[in-house]
Amino acid sequence: MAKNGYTIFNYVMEKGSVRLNGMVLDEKKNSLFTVDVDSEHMIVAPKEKISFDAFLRFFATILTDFDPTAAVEEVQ
Amino acid sequence: MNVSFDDFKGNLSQEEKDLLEKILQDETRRRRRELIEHCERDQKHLEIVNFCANFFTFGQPLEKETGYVLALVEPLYSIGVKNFDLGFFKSQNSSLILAECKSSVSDFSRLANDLNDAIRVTNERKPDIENVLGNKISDPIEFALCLPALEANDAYKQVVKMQIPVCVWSASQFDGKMKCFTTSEDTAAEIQAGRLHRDGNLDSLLGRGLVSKERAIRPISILPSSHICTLLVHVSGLIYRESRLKTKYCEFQYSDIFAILANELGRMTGLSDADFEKLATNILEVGLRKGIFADLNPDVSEIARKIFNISGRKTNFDVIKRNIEENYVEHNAIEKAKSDAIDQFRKQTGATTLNSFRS
Repeated sequence: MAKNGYTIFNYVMEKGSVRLNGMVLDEKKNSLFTVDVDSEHMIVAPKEKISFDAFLRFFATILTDFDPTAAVEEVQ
Repeated sequence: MNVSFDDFKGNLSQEEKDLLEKILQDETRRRRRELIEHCERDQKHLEIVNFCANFFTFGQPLEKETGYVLALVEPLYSIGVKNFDLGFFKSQNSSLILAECKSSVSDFSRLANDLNDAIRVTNERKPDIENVLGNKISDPIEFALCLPALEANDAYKQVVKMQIPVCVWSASQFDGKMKCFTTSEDTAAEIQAGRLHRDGNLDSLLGRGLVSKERAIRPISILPSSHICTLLVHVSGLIYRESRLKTKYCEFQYSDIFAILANELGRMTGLSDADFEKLATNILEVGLRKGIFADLNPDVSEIARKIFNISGRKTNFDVIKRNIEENYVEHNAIEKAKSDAIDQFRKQTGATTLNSFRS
C-alpha cells in the first residue's frame, strides 16, 4: 500500500484472521478515509468530502495488488 | 531516595554493572512489549466505540426507528471524570443512554465495581452532563455496557449478581451485529432492574439484534482519553497532510494541534478551549520529549509563536508513522526500564541503598 501512496494508521488487525479496521491517508489525492476489511468485504468510507477518482484509484490498487476479481457495491 | 540510573551504575563494580545491564535489557524488552500491548488495546477500544456509535448515527435504522442519536462522547472528561464513552439521546422525551465500551475484559468483578462507581458519579454529576448536552435529561439515565459477544454472558452474570442497572450489549464485530443480552424471560423485572431498556422499540430492535452495514465509518477518529501514541500519530498525519500543500514541509504551530483537536473532538465532548489547550500542550510536550517533534525556535519562549516540525525522515506518512510509534515505545520503554532495573538489581543483590555500594 505504501508504494502506491497509502498509509494505514491507527488500525486494528486481528492475528490469524482476515480482519482490519483503520484510517487510510491517500497521499496522492490528499484524502482521508476509513476501511473495514473481512474475508468477504472491504468497506471504504470517507472521513470528509473526497473526490470520486480518489475512490477509483483505491479500487484500482485493490484490483492490481490484492484481488483482480473485486467488484464495487454501494452500501445503502 | 530517587537516584538516576547513570549515578547508580557509576558506583558499581564491573561485575555488578554487567548484571545491571542484563537486567536493563530484560526490563526494556518487557516494557516494550507492554507498551505495544497498551497501544493495541487502545486501538481495539476505539474500534468498538465506533462500532457501537455507528448504530446511532443519523440515518441508521436504530436512529430512525427509536429516535436515539449519538450525542455525547466521553461527556465527563472535561471535569476530570473518565467514565462512559458514549451518550445516546432521544430529544422527544429527553432520555439518555450512556454506554461504556470494552474491547476485552480480564476481571468481570472489577469491571462491575467500576461500573457501579461510574453510575454513582454520573448520577451525581447529571447537571454537568446536561450542560455538555445543552438539554435537560429525564430520569432515570439508562446505562449500557458494550463488549464482544464472547464476553457478554459472563458480564451479564456479574451484572445480575451485583444488581447493577446496566444493559449488556453484545457486539459481534465479525458479522457487524449488536444485540441486547439477557437470559431472563421476565421483561418487566429486567426493565425494573435496568437490564433492559424502557423504550419498547429500542428493546425489541436490540433484542432481535441489529446488523450495521456501516461499521467502517469512524464517526470518532480519536477520543480525549485516547492513548498518547494514538493522538501523536493522528495529529501528525493531519499535520503532514496539510503541510504537503504548503512550502514549509511538516512544519506546524501550537495552534495547528489545537485546531485539529477542536475539529476532531469539538462537537460531542463538551471540551472547553482550556481543555483543548491542555490536551494540545500535552501532545506537544510528549512529542518534544520523545524526539518526535523538534522545536525550530528554541530562542522563542512563547509557545504560540514557536514553529515545530516532525522529526526524522519524511519520505511518506508511513515512514513518519513508524518513526513516531518506534520513538514513543523505545523512549518510554527505556525510561521505565531504567527505574525498574534498579529495583530488580536491589532485590537480586539484597542491596537497599546507594550507600551499600560505596562501602
